[in-house]
Amino acid sequence: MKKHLVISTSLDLVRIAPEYVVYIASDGNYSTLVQRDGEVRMVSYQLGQVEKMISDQLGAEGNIFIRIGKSLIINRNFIY
Amino acid sequence: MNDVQEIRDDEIRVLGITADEGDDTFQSGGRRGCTWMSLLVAAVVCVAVLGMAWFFDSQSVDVHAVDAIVVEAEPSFFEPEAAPVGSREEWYASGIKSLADKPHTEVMDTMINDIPLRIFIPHNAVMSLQRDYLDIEDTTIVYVAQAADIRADNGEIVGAFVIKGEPLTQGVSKLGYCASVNGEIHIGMAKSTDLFEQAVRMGGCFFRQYPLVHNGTLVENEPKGKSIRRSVCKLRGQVFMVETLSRESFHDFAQSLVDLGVDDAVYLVGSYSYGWAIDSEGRRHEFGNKSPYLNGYTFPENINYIVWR
Repeated sequence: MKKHLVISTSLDLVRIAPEYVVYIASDGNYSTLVQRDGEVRMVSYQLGQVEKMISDQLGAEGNIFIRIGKSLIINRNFIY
Repeated sequence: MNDVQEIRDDEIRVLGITADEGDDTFQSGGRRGCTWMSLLVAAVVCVAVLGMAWFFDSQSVDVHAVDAIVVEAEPSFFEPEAAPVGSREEWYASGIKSLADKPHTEVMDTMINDIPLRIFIPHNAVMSLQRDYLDIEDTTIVYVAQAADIRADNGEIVGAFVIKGEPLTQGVSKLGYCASVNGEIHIGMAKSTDLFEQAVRMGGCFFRQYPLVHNGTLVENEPKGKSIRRSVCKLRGQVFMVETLSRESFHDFAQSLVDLGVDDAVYLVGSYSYGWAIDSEGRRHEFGNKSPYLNGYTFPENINYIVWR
C-alpha cells in the first residue's frame, strides 16, 4: 500500500501523499509545508524533526525528498 | 526527534536513507569533502596494491610453470617414468667430418618414445631454397625436401618467403621461421624478425613454417591429425633434418624432438611430399611419393624446397 505522510500542524493532523508535497521550509521552531495545490500549512515541528518523520514513516519511499542545507526539504519531482 | 544528523547550509542529502545504509550527504567542500577524498585515495591505493600483488603473483606462477617443465616428475608406482630411448649422445657425436669429404648427408635411425625417427645431417653442404622446378637427377643435391606450405585456394606460399634475396611473399601466418643469412642458419619462432630483411639485403633465404620446438620447449600447433612429419632442427649450432617413419601427431613429433635435445625446430612439409638424401657412400635415401615427378605431373608454381648442396 502506498505510504502517506502523517504530520500534525498547528490546527490538525494531516495525512498527505508524499508526491503532493512540493517543499517544506524551516520557519524557526516551526516548518512550512507547501502543497502542490498551493495550500500552505504550518507544521509545529522543526525541519530536522520533519526530516526524521519523513524517513521513519516513508522509509525508502522518502527518497523523493532532498534536504538542502538547514532550511529546506524539497520534493525532487518538482525540480525541472 | 533530535537524533537527525546535523546538516550545514552547503550540504544536501537524500531522505529515506538511514545512517546505517550510508551517508548520502553531498557537500560543496570542507571537512566532509576531505573525508570523501581520503576514502577515495585509500580506495585507489588499495586497488593499486591489489593490482601489484596480482601482477607479481602471476609472475611467480609463470616462474613455477617454467620450473615445472624443468623439474622431473615424481616417480609413479604404477607408471614408472622411462627415460627417452635414444639419447642425443647416441647420434649427435658421430664424429667430426673432414672438410675434405665430399658433400653428403649422414643418415641415421633412432627411436624416441616409441617414435621411429630418421635423422639427416648434411656435411660439407650449404642450405638454400629452391622454387618451382626440381631436377630429381641433380647430383649436386645431398638433401632436399619441401619447405613452406602452399595455400590450396590460390597457390601462394604460406608466410614470408625469400629466395636469394628476392622476397616472394610476406606474412606471418605461421610463427616458425628458418633463415640462411651469410651462411648462418637461424631457426626460431617470432611474429616479427629482422632476419627477413637481412635475408633480402644479403641475398639469403627465409621461409616460415609451424614452430615445433623453441628454446628447447615444445610448441603446440593447431593441426591434430597424424601424418609423416618432417622438420629442420638446430641443436647446439648443428642443423639437421628429422623425419618420422610412422604417422605421428604434431604434438608427439615435437615432443620427440624435445626429448632428442633439439633447441629449435620448425616443420617441413610432411606426408607423401617427395625428397631424398645422399649418404657418404652415394646411396640415395628417398622418401615420399616420387611418381608425380616421373609421370610429368604439373606441380604448383610455388612448390618450394629446402636444398642442401
